[in-house]
Amino acid sequence: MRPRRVTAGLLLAALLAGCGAAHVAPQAASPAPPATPSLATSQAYAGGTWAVVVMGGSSAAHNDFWELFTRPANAAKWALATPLGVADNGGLAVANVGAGSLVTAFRPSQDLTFSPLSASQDDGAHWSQSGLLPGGLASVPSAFAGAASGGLIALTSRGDAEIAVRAGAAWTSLASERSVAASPAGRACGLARLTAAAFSSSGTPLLAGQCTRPGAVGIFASTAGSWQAATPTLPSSLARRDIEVLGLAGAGPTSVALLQAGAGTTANLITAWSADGGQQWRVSVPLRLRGRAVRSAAFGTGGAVGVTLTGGRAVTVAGPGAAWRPLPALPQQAAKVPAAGVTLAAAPGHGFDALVGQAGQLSVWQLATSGAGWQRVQVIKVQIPYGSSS
Amino acid sequence: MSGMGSVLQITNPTVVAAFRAALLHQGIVALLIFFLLALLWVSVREWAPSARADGGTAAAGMTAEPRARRLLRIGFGIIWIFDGILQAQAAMPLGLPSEVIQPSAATSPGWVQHIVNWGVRGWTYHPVNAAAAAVWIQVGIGIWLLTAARGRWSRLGGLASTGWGLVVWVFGEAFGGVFAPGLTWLFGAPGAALFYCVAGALVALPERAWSGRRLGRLLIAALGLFTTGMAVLQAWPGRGFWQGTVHRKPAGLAAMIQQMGQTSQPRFLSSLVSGFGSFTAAHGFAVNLVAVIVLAAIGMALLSGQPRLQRPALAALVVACLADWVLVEDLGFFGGLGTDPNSMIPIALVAVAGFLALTSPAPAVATSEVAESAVASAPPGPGWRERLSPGRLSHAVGTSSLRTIAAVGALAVAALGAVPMVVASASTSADPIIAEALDGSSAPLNFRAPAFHLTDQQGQPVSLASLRGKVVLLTFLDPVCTSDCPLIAQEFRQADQMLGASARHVELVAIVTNPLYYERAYTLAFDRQENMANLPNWRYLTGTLPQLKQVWQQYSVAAQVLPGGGMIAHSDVAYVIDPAGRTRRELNFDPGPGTSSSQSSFAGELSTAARQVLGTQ
Repeated sequence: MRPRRVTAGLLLAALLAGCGAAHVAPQAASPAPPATPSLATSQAYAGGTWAVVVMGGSSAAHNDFWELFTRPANAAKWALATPLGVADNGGLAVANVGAGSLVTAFRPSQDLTFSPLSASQDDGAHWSQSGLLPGGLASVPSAFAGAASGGLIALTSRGDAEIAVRAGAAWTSLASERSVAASPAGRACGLARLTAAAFSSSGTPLLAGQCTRPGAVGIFASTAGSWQAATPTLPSSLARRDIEVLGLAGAGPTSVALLQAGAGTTANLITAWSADGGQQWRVSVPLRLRGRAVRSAAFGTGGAVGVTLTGGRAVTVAGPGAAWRPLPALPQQAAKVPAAGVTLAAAPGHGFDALVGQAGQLSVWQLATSGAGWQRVQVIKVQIPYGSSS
Repeated sequence: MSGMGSVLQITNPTVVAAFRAALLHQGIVALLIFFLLALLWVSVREWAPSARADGGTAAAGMTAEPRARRLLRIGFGIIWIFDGILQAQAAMPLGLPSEVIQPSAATSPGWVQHIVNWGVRGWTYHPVNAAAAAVWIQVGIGIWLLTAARGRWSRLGGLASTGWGLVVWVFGEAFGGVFAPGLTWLFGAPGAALFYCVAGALVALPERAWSGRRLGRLLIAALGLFTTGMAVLQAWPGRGFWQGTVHRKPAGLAAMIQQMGQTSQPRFLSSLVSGFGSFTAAHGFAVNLVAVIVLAAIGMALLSGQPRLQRPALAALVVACLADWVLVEDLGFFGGLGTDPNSMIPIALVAVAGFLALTSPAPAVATSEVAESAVASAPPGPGWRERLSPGRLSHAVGTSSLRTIAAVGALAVAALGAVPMVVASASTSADPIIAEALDGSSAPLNFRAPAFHLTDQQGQPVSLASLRGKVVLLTFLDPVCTSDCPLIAQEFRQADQMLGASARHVELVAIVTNPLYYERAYTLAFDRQENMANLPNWRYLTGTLPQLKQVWQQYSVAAQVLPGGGMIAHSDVAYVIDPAGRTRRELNFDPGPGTSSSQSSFAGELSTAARQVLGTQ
C-alpha cells in the first residue's frame, strides 16, 4: 500500500465528487397562494345577471374554455351566451353598458396579443364584432367594466388603463400604472400594481390596486385630470396589513370594492360600498379567512357580494351595513372541478346561485328554501371544442 | 384545419421512408466503395509484383500488437458498429432530439442546454441527413478500428473514435450529465461516449507507449481515481440515493430502476430489472451502502499500486459493471430509442485493457517502429506532388495490406455519411421533408386562379388582376386566431427573407377567414402583432361578408364557427399563383408544431415554389 498516493487520490476524488454535488438543486419552497381571484366572476346589471364559468377541465390549460351565461331579469333559467368566433381559452371578461347591453373582451392566449371585443344588445343572445383592445386585457377579474353611458374602461396586460366612449370606438390611454403610482395618492399608497377598474354611478373612472404601504387602500378616482384617493377607512386592527383590492364593480348607484387585508392565516376579507363615487364608504366587518384563500368573487344586486373560498366554502354579504354570512358547503360536485370552477351568481331575490362547470356540463345549484343546503335546479350541456385551440 | 395542433410523430411515415431510402442508397454506395477498392488493390498487385513483394517485407517486420491495445481496438470497433446499427432505427431522425438528447440535457445548467440546443438545431433542420450521417460515421469508425490493426491508419482510427466520441458526448449526452444533479455511476455517469474517447485516445498513442508497464499503471490509477470519486458521489448525503422510498413511493435509485423496468424489452429482462427495482425500494439504504463500499474498495485497491490488490479489484470492477449493466442499465439499449449499450461495457473494456497493459506489456523493441505504417514503408519523396504521382500511388496501394485498404474504405464510409450532412448544414433553412411529413407534397397545377376584389389593411382596393406580373403567394388567415395563423404569417415572413432580391417579384397575400371578425381593424392589429406591417409586399385583405364568402367558396376554403369558445376552424392552405394569374401549386399549409425547424421547412417550401414559378430555380 502507498498511503501518500491513496490519500492524494481520495482528496482529488472527493474534490471531483464535491463539484458534482454542488449542482444539486435546492428544494424550492411552495409559493403562497395568490390573492388575485379567478376570472370566473359574475355581476348583476339592469338587464339581469351574467356569469363567467371555466369549463372543459382537461389537464391541458388550453382545453379550459371560459363560458358566458346570462339570465335576463325576466327569465327563470340561465342560458349559454358565449360569443363565438374567437378562442376564449385565455379568459373572458364582460362589461355591462346599460339594460340588455353587454360587451365581452377575450383575454389573449397563445400567440394572440390583443383582445377582440364583441357587443350584444339583447343580453347575449346575439353578438357582433366591436373592435379590439390593442394591449390585451389584464388577467384580473375586474379588468373590464362598462358605464350606463356605453363607455368602457379596461386594464391592459401592460399595466395601463384605457378608456373608450363606446364599444367599437378607439381606445385612448387613461393612465399608466406608473403615472397613477407617481400621483400623490399613488405615492401615499405605494401602489405596486393595478388590479381593478370600474366606473362610478356618475361615470367617473375608478382604478384600484395593491398597496405596499401597510394599512393603505389603493382606490383612485379620476378627478379633473388627476388621480385622487377614493379610499375607505378600515378598522384600526388592519392598519398594519397589506391591502389588495380583489374586485371593483358598479352595482346601480353603488360602487362596491372587495378587499383583502393581510395574507395567509391572518387574512381578512372586507367589502366597502360607496354611493358617491368613492368620497365616502361604508365598510363591512372584516371576515377572518382562517387560512382559506379567495377563489372567485361575484357582485349581486344592491351591493351584495359572494365569495367562494378554498375548501369548498362560500360567504356572502348582502349589501351596505350587512354582515358576512357563510353559505352551506358548496355542492360536492364543486370540489371535483379545478380551481375557480365554481362561480357564484346573483339569484332572483337576494341570494346567490352556484354555477358549477364540469367538463361539458354546467349545473346550476340554488339554496334550498330552508337555507340548509344546495339543490340542483338546472343543467346546461355545452359543446366544448377540445383540442380546437392549441 | 387551423388550431388542430399538428404534431410530427417520431415514426412519421414520410420521414421514415426517406431515412430508409437514404440508408439503402448510401449502403449500396458503401458496398461499391469496398468493391472498387478491393478491385484496385488486386489489380495493382497483379500488375506490379514488386510492390507485392515490398508489402510482404514490411509485414514481416511487424511485432505482435499489444494485447491491451488489441482489446480496445476490437472491442470499441464492435461497439461503434453496434451503435451505428442502433442509429438506423426508423424513429431516429425525428426521435433522437426529443426522446434522447433533450431529456438528457433537461436537468443540466442553461449553458449546457444552450450548447446542446445548437447541435439539436442542426439535427432537427436536417433529420434524415443527420441520422444517416450518424449511422455511417459510426459504422465507418467501427470497421476502421477493426480492420486497421497497426500503423498510422490504425492510430488515425483511434483519433476518429475520440473525435466523434467527443461530439456524441457533448451533443448527444449533454456532457454525460456531469453538470446535472443526480449524477451516479450506476446510471452511466460520466457518459459512455467519454470512454469511447478514452479508448480512441489510447489506440491513437504511438506503439512505443505500450511498451513497459507505465501505461497500464497510469490507466489503473485513473480508474481508481474515477471509481473512488463515484463512490464519494454515491455516498454524498442529500442526493436521494440513501432512500428507497419517499412518501411510500420509489425514490432515487429505485425510481430510476423501476422506470427502466417499464420500458419495452424482453419479459425476462423486464421482470429482472423490476424485481431489482422493488428490492431497492424496500432496501434502498442497504443497496446504496453496498454500491458505495464496492466502488470505494475498488477505487482504493486500484490506487494502492499493489498488484495483489489491483487484480481482484479489476475483476470486481468488471463483475460490478456487468451486474449494473443488466440490473440497473437494462443492457442500455432497450426501451425507447437506445443509441448505445451505455457505459458499463466500455468501462469494463478499459479496465481489462488496463490489466493487460500492466501484466502483458509489449516488448520494448526498436523494430516496432518499423511497423508504424505499411504505407510509410514507401521511400519518402521530396514533396506532395511527387507523392501523389500515379507511380507512387500505385506503389503505395500495392504495398498496402488488405487491412489498410479496408480502413481506407471505412474512412470513405464515414465520409459518405458526413459529407451530405455538412452540405445540408450549409443551408440556413430546414429540409422540405419536415413540411412534407406534416402536410404531404403537392403536385404542379395549371389553371386560372379565381378573381377577387377586396381591400387591403390600408383600405386600398386590391384585386388579383392588379397583382398581374408578380408571383402571388396566397393564404387564408383568421386575424383573431391564437395559434396556426400567426405561425403561417411568420412562415410567409421567413419565405420572403429566403427569397432575397427575388422577393420584389412576389406578393404575399392573405385573405381574412373569419365570418364573425373581419373588420379591417383586426387585420391591422394582426399585422402589428406579427410584425408584418414593415413588409412592403405583404397584403392582408378583407371585405364585406358576402365578398369574403364568395372568395372562400371559389378557393375551396372552409371556415367553420365552433361552439363553446373555440376559434374558427378553417383550411390551412397556400396557393402559388404565377404572374399570368394561373394557379401553379396548392400547398397544404397546416403549419405544424411551430418549431424553428418546421417553420423554416415550410418557409423553404414556399420560397422554393415561388422561385420555381419565377423560373429562377
